[in-house]
Amino acid sequence: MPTGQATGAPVTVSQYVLKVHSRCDLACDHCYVYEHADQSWRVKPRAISLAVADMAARRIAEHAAEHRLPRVSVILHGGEPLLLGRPGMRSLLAALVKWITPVSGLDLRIHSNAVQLDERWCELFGEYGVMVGVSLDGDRAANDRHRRFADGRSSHDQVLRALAVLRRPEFRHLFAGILCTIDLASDPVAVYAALAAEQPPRLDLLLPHATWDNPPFRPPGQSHPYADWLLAVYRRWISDGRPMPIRLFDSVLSAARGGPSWTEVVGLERTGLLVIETDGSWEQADSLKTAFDGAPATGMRVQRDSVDDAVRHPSVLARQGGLAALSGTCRACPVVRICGGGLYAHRYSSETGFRNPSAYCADLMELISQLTVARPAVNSGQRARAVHRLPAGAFDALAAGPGDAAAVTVLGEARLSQAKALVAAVGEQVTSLREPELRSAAAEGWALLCELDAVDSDAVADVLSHPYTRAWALRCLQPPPGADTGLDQAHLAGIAAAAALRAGVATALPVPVRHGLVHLPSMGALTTGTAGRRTVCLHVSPGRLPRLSRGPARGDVGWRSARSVSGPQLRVAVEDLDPFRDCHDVPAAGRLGGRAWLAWRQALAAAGRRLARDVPGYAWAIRAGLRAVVPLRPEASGMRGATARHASGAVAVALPGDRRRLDELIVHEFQHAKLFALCDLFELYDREDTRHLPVPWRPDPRPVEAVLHGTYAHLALAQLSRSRGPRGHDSWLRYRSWVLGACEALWQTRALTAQGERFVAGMLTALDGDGAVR
Amino acid sequence: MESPNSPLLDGRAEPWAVVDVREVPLGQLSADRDAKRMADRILARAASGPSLLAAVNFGSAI
Repeated sequence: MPTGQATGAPVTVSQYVLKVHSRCDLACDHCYVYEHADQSWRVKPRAISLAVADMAARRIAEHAAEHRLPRVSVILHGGEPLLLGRPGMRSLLAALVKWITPVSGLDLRIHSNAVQLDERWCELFGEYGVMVGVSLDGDRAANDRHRRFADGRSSHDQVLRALAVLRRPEFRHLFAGILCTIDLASDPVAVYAALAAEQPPRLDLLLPHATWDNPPFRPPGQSHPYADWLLAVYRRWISDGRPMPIRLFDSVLSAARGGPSWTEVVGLERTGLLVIETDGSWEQADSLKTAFDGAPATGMRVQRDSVDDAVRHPSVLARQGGLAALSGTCRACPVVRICGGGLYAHRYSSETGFRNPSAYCADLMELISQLTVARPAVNSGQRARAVHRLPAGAFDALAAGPGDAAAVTVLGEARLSQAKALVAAVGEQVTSLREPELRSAAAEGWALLCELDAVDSDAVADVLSHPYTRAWALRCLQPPPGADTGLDQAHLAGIAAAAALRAGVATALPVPVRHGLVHLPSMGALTTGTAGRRTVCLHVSPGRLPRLSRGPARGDVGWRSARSVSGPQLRVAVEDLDPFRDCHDVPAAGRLGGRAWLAWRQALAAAGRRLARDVPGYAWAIRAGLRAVVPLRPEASGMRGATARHASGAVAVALPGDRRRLDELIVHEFQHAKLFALCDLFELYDREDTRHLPVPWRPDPRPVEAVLHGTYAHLALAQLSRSRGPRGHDSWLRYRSWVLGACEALWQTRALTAQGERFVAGMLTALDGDGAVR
Repeated sequence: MESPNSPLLDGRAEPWAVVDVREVPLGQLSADRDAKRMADRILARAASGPSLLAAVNFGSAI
């Protein structure tokens, strides 16, 4: 897809539709290639020649090499591409592989009517790793409505036979999905059921192409019948438990959350592709054939013009204008960021061109309204709630390495909602504690916390956002063997006391004693001086340090303040007190002595300055999202760092012998922290996939999640090394090769979801650019 | 034939994963279905996957 318009960077294309045959063995009466405005197929060669295919491959490779694209996608298309025949197809695939794979990853796909698709074709596609998408319009009645041979015969049986071949275990991995063009005359639920019965890994439902000149058919009195049709499918899909992704629905829901869309039909993504016709013509998206005769044409050919030439064509650039290129009606519409104005071709009018709402505007509006406002009743009887959404661009900014302000902020907000839910789950259990003393502390703490939340929710949020509050809640709800569950849960009183101290509210309550200390997370701890007690009574007063009922009159006698570094480049707690910080599998250091604390302050401040100088994007993200650094016990040699999934916004590191390497540790670990948080919002990979992949940074294979984490962490190190110029050159090369290798391994698994693929593609794109870092 | 627009990709979003409960009074969350579902999901994941990633000597445990 052409990208780069927004940043002014060179426009690049990573997706191509290669027309390998211009004729079809079916005569579908809804086909835009033959039945709509553009009739250019009449003058195109029937089959692509090997010379044209070879030239096309070289053009794609040339562009990929010049722009260092990590991956390109080539979709073989027609007409019906299988009419090329197996020998011709083999030669064509060999040419694509020969030219493109030395410079870029190659994602090969084919889209077919499947009438001729059989075992021998699948064997050929298996040989080259070609994913196969199939057109089928539903049950026999729906399919036969349009998808017939020229003599009127049904194609239904042939297609079902082909799908049965694709489902066989040896070919199942080649099955890309089913694509269905909807027809109001067909029963939506019957269509859905028939398609679902074919067990496609993915399903695409397409609106029939239409424009303002040739508007979609609408029965009298129905203002949005296509939305109604789709919503009937949606309801059944939800009630079935969403057995396969449906791209249109997933895209609307994702775009509504500020995430990406995976279809040009909705969303403001600057999506697009270039088409190469059988004669070598560069053309725009096929859907434009519905607008007017010659609409997709650019007048350029692979034999003469490069990809860079083609993407500079005014019509190609015009399609990448994003929000600014939409009509005034669209720009003022409340759902414009979800629908994105609809498919570009559907906006066409011979009077006003493409600057119109979609001919399907009413349907898109209704569909979006129903999917995003009247969502299925996850909270039956309650008003629909907002969900935490990444704003447009934030997902890609995170994939590029550091993330931007909006991304890091949303991740933190989402984690606060989760922490609140977890703390509430702990609060619900307090009355079941067996030890009366601890039960009383937990119950009073829970009650106080709820009261404080009503009068000063910011103070409560500050304490609940502390990374080790969430870690504590998890420990309470899933106690590890040997845990002192009563003492752990009574920590609710310490959390409440910390919130009271922040809010300036006077209170007194029993709080648990752990190793002679009363802990007020994020604030500090008080020495009790009493042995053997499980709880003590703590007094909190505005403007004073906490004190015990029977302790010294001056609270500062036994008070240990929480520590932090607060400089212009880095502002972060140095957590050497919280009793739940030691959850990283490598032991946390104890309370730092004076000299050690001075060393940490100096090292962190210096690391902050270096990060701001070398990788300001990362420095900003760390400043915005890193709440705590936990000192670990020093490693005798090398470097030690760790990140816990449930200690949101914290990293644990040992101060390295070479203090200058502290930046590397922090950047590395904070990548894990961000990715853990992102994985709460998005499914990046198939959690059921238990395979282990080889990775360059250690000898034994690792699970998909760990590979994703390692890749993301090493992307940051690569970018940090690169920023250091010749001094970091060797490290840059090493980390770069690690990221490339790991990304390739991740691609090969096919265990990534669409978001996961997008995330990995984003990492690869960012690897050789520095715009995102700076 | 229809255009694929772009390759058929997997879109397994979890649209309702993290509900914004920041403004919900803490005392009401114990009985809140969204909050309970979120907590249950976190617990399920914690039970099924590694809870930490330690990078001892850089990446050796990733």
